[in-house]
Amino acid sequence: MNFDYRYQGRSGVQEEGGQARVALATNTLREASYFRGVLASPLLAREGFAALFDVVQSDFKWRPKERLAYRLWLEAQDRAFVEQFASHQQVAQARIAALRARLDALDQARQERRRDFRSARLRYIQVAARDEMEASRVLDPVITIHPDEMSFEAFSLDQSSYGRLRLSYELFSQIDEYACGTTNIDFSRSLHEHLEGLRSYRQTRFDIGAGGLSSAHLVADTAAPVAHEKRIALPDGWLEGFLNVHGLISMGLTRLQLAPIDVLNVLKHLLAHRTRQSPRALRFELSPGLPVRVVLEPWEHSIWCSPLSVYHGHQPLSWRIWGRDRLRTLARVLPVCEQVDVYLAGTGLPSVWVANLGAYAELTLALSGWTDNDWVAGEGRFDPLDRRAEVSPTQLTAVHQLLQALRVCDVDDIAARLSLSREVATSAVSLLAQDGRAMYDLRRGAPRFRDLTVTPFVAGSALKRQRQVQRDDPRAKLADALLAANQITIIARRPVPDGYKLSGNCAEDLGRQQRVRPQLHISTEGAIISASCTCEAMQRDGMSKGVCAHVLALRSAHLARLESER
Amino acid sequence: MRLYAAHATPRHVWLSLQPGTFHGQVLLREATSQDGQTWGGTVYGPFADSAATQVLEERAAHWRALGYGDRIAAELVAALQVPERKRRARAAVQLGWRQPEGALEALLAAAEQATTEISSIVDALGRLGVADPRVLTLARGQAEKKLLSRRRSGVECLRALGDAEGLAQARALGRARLNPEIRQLLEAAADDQLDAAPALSAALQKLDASTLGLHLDQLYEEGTPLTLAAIAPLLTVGLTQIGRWRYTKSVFKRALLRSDAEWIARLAYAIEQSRPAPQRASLKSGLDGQQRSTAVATAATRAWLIRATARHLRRLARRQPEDYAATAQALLCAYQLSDQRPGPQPFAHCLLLQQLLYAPKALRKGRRRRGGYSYGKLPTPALSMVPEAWREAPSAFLQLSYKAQLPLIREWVERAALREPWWLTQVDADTLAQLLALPALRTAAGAELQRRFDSAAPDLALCGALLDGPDYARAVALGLLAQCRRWLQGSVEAVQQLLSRQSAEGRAAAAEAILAAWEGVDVDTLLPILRALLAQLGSGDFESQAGRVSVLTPLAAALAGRLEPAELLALIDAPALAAQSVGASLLAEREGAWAWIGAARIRALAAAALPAIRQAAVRLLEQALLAGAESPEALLALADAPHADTRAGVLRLIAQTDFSHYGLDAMVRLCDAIQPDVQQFAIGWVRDNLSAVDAGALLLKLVEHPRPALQALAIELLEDHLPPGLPTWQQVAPFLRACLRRPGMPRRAKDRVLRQLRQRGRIDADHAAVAVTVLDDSLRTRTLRDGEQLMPVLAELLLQFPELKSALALIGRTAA
Repeated sequence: MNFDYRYQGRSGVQEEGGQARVALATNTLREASYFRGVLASPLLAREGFAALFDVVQSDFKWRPKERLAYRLWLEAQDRAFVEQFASHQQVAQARIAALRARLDALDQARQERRRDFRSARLRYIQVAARDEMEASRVLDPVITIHPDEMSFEAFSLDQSSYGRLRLSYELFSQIDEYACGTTNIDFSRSLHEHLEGLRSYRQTRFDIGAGGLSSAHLVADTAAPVAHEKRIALPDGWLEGFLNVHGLISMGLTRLQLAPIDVLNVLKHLLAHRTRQSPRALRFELSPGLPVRVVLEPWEHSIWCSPLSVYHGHQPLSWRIWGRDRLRTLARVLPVCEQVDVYLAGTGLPSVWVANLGAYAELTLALSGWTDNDWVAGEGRFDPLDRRAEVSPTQLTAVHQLLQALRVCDVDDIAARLSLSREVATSAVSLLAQDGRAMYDLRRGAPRFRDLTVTPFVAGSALKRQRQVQRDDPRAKLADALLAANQITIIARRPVPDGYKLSGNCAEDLGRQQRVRPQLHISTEGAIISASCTCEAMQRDGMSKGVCAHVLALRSAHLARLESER
Repeated sequence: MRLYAAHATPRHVWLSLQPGTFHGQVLLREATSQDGQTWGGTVYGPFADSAATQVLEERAAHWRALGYGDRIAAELVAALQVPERKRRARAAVQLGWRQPEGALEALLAAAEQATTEISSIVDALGRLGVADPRVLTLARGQAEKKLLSRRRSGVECLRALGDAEGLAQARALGRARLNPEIRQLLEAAADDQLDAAPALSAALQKLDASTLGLHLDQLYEEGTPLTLAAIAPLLTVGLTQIGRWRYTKSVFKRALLRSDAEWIARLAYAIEQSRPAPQRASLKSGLDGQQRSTAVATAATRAWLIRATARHLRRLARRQPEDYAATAQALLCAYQLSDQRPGPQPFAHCLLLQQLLYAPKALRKGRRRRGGYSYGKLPTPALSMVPEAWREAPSAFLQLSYKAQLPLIREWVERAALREPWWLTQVDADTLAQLLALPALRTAAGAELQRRFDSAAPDLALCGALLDGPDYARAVALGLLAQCRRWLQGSVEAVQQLLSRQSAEGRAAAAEAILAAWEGVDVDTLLPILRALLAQLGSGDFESQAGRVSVLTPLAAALAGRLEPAELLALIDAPALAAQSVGASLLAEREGAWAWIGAARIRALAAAALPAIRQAAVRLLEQALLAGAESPEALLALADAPHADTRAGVLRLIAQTDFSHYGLDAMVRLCDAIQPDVQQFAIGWVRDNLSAVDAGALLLKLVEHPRPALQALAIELLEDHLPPGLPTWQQVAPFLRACLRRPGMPRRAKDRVLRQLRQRGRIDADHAAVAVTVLDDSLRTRTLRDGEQLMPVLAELLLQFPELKSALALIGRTAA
């Protein structure tokens, strides 16, 4: 999948006469959206952008080093060793030693002579490699202008971290004009360096438009020349990466409130200590009524968090998450951060870290279960956790149009306005998210309209794609088959304040006698909050790779019973 | 000289020349014998050296008049009539090579009664090269035959005799046998249209083995550039396959008949190195039409072909020495290091290699083994083994030193060349230039080039080639050019030609040589050359003009005053970068030039892509600044330029300018620069000129800086320059909090921050409240040193101002 970017200007920062102008060029191949205003707190925006840039540039995947030079050196040593044995005569050996010493001296002299050249070449290679990386690998962030805020979203280079910077309109002292929509912005290292120049003692205009720094055009001018184009080859399923993030966010996550100093303590320890010993997890020890205790493995270094973090759950939990080095991308915002909310799903599952930069800005960092299990190509699938009630194309179109018109609207409101059941409205929003047309706002708890694609929305096609995805998912397929074959039985069903807790008995596979026992905590909307099963897959992986077919079958059986009870 | 008469007495006569007693004299010895044994004879003379040949010829003429002649030729002619076919064939071939008088008639007579040896007779007639109508008729007849050997002999004879009409008929006949697609491709393209070769090759590759063989033979028979290029990638692949082998042999024999060095070498090497598994097939004989089981490409057949090649080389060496070197060189260069086989005799299977390196002397000592001659350890061939035939083409022999793959061969040639400098004196300059690549011959080849070099009329082409070559060749070229300084000072064409070398290194070296030749010469003398170089700057890209720029730039100071302002401005306004670069350098050297182009243009030049232009712009800027035409403030706009050299130049100018021209805003501007080097400069600048500005105001701006170096400066200024009062204290509080919260903040900086919090916090309760808030945020730090230092400060403030609230609870506070 190729993603094309075309810009009529370049993004940049202009400083003149004690005033600064931040101009972000938008992708002219996408819907026209723009914004003009004056930043009231440029420093917060600066720190937020810097942290987002750190996320975009970060690549924490382990890649083996190429030790070509070392291998060549080793081979040379081997040859010298063998030659030493080959020449028996002392005279010959002495001659070889003398020649080798001379050769070494000459090599050293050559290295010395070429030092300037080598350093210049290295600089050139670094610049060329950086340009090449920006041109071919770095995904420009997706910017969405909402009626109440703007957000910048991006995946890291290793696709394992998702960053979202939210800037509320209260952060601006003056808003001249804006048009809601979703597009990309030209976001290069050069822009990042210029953004570092934002200061509170300079009035800072903030312009987002097609012209960027070079012109005042807010929308694309067909006559204007193209300043910059690039094409990024995205991995298949990149779009699903966004859906996975929002699938996770819409789950019933456990929220912990940490003070910035708590996160700083973790980061400082990680920066000061390195280990190759496993496990290298970050363990959250949650005891009811007590502050959170974070344990850094394998040192078992325990950090009691501030009183703010008192856990209000009913039972003690011990959850481990991996890929903790990725938290380094938060370092930039910690000095200006007021609080960090951590949303946990369970052991080995993704986590979401929300750094509140005052009331009007926040940086969301969603980390996949571990670095190699990234959001896009990883095995974790969180979209099936959402309820998928049957949605007709007409209903889906109506929800799309409503959300597009309002830009942000909670599910109950959508259901009320369109006379839909809450389950259908939830499913429709979930389908829109899967199609890249909507996102889930964790802070507000409501869907927002955000169109990632450049193609017009056709409900029939979206449903067809969704059905195809379901057909392609072996777990969903097996769940349907188990339900159809009446191989799933609900053993216990207990209503709880936020939904139901269920226990079932299910055949492990079609045609197999062995039974497994799925257990499920499900919301009233049908979203899976937590689940477990005695099957091999869930015992081995937990929910780190999504839920098993037995849990999905139990949910379907429960929803079918709910329908019949109405 | 040996003469023979079968029916005379004596039958044998020997005539020979021998050195006389005194220098410059020779003796003629004449011996006769009835049985072929020589005993004494009569000695005539002494004769002068110059007359020796004439005396010998006179004496030989005397005997020839009596009916004596070449004995072997007579025997060969006689052998054409013997009953054995093989002997007749061999005699015909020998006659073809020896070309004695009367051979033509004898061969034509033998052809009338010939059976299977007709091919050999036609081959011999072709080698004789006499385009007699009877020969042409015979050859054309053979070329029309279907039998491969007949047709081959006929066509190759016609080719040797240059019979275009006969060849055209044969070609038409041959093409009729080809695949229609191939024929169509051949007819669509001209004979020398090489770009059609890949398509033809691709079409040939689709054919099966036997059909492909026939096509390869036919295309080689035509022998046009197109057909040869098309078959080149195919001929040595799968050459021993059933169905292909007979055509492989045919092409090889054609190559031998044509003395085609390249193809003889390719095929002989491929055949010698091929080791096909034994294979047998039921094949129809072209001679009798019988179908019989036949072993294909057997070791014996391959060995015969290799021996035939060796025989051919020997005959070339003796009869056509001018053709020997090319074939021998091509063959020797074909051998690779990978041809070695494991064991003590790595090249035992390479008969041709051994023949070429050791024959004939050393081979006699070798032990005959299956498939070749072997030596316990293959030594570097003795110098005495360089056959005389090599001397016909010394370049070909010396080229082996860099073309051959085997070190054995290269060492042999190198030793020969070092021992006998005659070789180097006989080769052309290009070969000598190539020999410079060899460490062993570098000095000798360089000396030979030096010896031949005429500084009055230098060989420009040779110098150019050496300049474009590797480092050592360039070193020789620089040595040669150093001999002709006068020539380089006066010849515009020569300078232009040298500076137009193909390689960038060559142009740079040429510039170096030219500048060395111009050293100490008055610029007025060189002005015509310099003007010619300036006129050329507008053409081509910068790379191609780099040599001219390198020559002109160092002379800019002397040249600038000799050119008109309009000329200088024309250079800087030219679209070519080279012209701009030289123009900027010249302007920078010209007094008052900044006024002609204006400050705005100078600032634009400071952002140019070429370093030379930027450096010149900085110099112009300096001149303008000194003249008061440019404001020092304008430098600030260039200080954060993307190019490091511009920044360095501008920062130097800023440092040289009196600080009174700047102020706080300039200082803040430099501190807020993006480039780290500018920030570093700004830090030093701030320290040097702090007393001249409002340090407090500067500090309040620096506390917002995100870079650690500037934050460190802010912390440094904090102690002495933070203005008193609660508002400023509140203003810096976020910075202090950030310092304590930022991972990687140095210990010393944190200590300073804590010291400030303590000092300022103790002023009054309001100051303390701000400090306590900052300290409270970091109170739970798990960094031991941070905690140890932070907590006493906080405790001290809480003790002093008990009304303040904090997360730190003081036990026994009431009592205290």
